Amino acid sequence: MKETSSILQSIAQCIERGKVNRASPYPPDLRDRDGADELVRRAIDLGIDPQEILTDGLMTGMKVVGEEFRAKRIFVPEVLMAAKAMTAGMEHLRPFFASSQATHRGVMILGTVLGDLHDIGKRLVGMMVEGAGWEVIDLGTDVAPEDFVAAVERRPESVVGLSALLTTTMMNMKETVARLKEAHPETKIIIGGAPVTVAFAHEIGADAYAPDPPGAVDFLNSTVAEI
Amino acid sequence: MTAHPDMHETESSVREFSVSPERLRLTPEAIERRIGYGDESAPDNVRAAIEEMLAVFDSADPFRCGFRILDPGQVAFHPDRIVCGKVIFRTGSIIGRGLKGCSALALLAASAGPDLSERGRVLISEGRELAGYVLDTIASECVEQCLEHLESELAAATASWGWRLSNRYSPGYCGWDVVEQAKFFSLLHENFCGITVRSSGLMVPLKSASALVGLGENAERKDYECSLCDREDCIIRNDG
Ligand code: B1M
Repeated sequence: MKETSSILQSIAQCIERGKVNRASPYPPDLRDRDGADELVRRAIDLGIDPQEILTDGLMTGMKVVGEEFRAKRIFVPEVLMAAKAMTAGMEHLRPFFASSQATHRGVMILGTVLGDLHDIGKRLVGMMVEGAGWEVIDLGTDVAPEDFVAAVERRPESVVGLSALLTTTMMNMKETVARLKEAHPETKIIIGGAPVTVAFAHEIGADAYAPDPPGAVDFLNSTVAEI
Repeated sequence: MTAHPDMHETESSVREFSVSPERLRLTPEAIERRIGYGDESAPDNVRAAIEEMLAVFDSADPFRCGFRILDPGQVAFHPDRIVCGKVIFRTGSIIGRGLKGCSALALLAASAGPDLSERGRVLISEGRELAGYVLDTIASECVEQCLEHLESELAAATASWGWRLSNRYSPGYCGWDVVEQAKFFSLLHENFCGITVRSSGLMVPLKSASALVGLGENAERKDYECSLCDREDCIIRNDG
């Protein structure tokens, strides 16, 4: 029991600090120690429930990363390192998702709307959403409304996340939301990006606006609680 | 650039430059600041990625930037708009106030080109997310520095006419709708500095920027520009 909680704590710490594996020299104070890669493997070998490894290890670490990023105590590079550590750990859990021994909290279809090529902010959202236990289907940038609709048709249980970085391209969110709501009125849609506001979300009929990736996570988790 | 400012639309009113990476001299500190580290230094691995990617930047092809000067006969300033012949920029009153006293106008555009972003994208797809992000950030800083470079070229070109420069204003800032980007580029020749504007107003390559600068004997550069602006929620607001 004690070993379980200590290994889960170490996994969480590896995510928080971006410690990918033993070979990775970053962060310097964890040099030559096991990273998320080795620790998740060991946790599985110890027979710890994969769902517990995900929730109490990986996701716990990523939650802290989100809070620190929101408080501007860490910046994009630290989030990228944390996401890398998360991915290394998730690799070992993949087979358990396939066999349903571990489950995602839900699915998010994510994309930057038509006319807009901004990518990095949207990717960050995807990483943190994944780190919160969601499956993310990233459609990329410059995504046409019909491609969002088609993606929802393939995975009707999804929540959709739209990103735009300019007031002009943000206008294409309106069309995308309208098309999605027409085809799938029950689909929840969250929008974000520098010029987007909560008022705009209301105006175009989106269900929520998030100023940052942790905000998107909060909304997604609230939709699960609702169900 | 020796022609008199009373000139109308001559070749000499349009200038394009090719700026080498070493000319811009991007520093690791500037990139750290742009990432957000402020006065504290970045973690060692971030610093190392910045240094590695600055070396990539140094080997990049020169960047394209340029300006066009509209002389006093071609432009009329109003409190909330600028009339350039048939083209009217609805800049709003913040920019209107900033351009008070100006008699001529320069339209500036700069691009880091597509290569740095593309290399960044490849690095990210190869699992080198940090390096890719750093290179992307370097490309953003490069565009800003190209605009700074243009301003100094502009100052040098117009100093002999007794002209000074106002602050720089970009479509999409200070209440000027980014939708006017298309109008802006209609005053520059096609593919100016390799930039094209999509119907959404987005410039391609993505790492590009446009701006105007007011010119004239009474043009004024103001130090604390953000305090002029009433957009309290602006993300880049700096009342320092
Ligand atoms: C689904 O749920 C969600 C939830 C949250 C979501 C989400 C979805 N999607 C995003 N988020 C959020 O979470 C992410 C992570 O924190 C964030 O995503 P970001 O992509 O913002 O995060 C990145 C990791 C970091 N952020 C960035 O890289 C953008 C930072 C700011 C300062 C910025 C930069 C650096 C640049 N720019 Co420009 N630029 C600004 C930006 C202001 C700002 N502070 O955001 C913005 C986006 N730019 C703006 C403008 C106007 C422009 N820029 C331009 C140019 C540039 C640079 C090239 C100099 C440079 C790089 C651009 C790039 N992105 O590659 C021009 C356009 C370029 C083009 N190709 O057309 C130009 C039009 C200016 C001009 N006339 O030249 C403004 C848009 C406002 C508007 N009115 O449309 C702007 C908001 C600045 C401002 N005025 O406050 C959030 O937005």
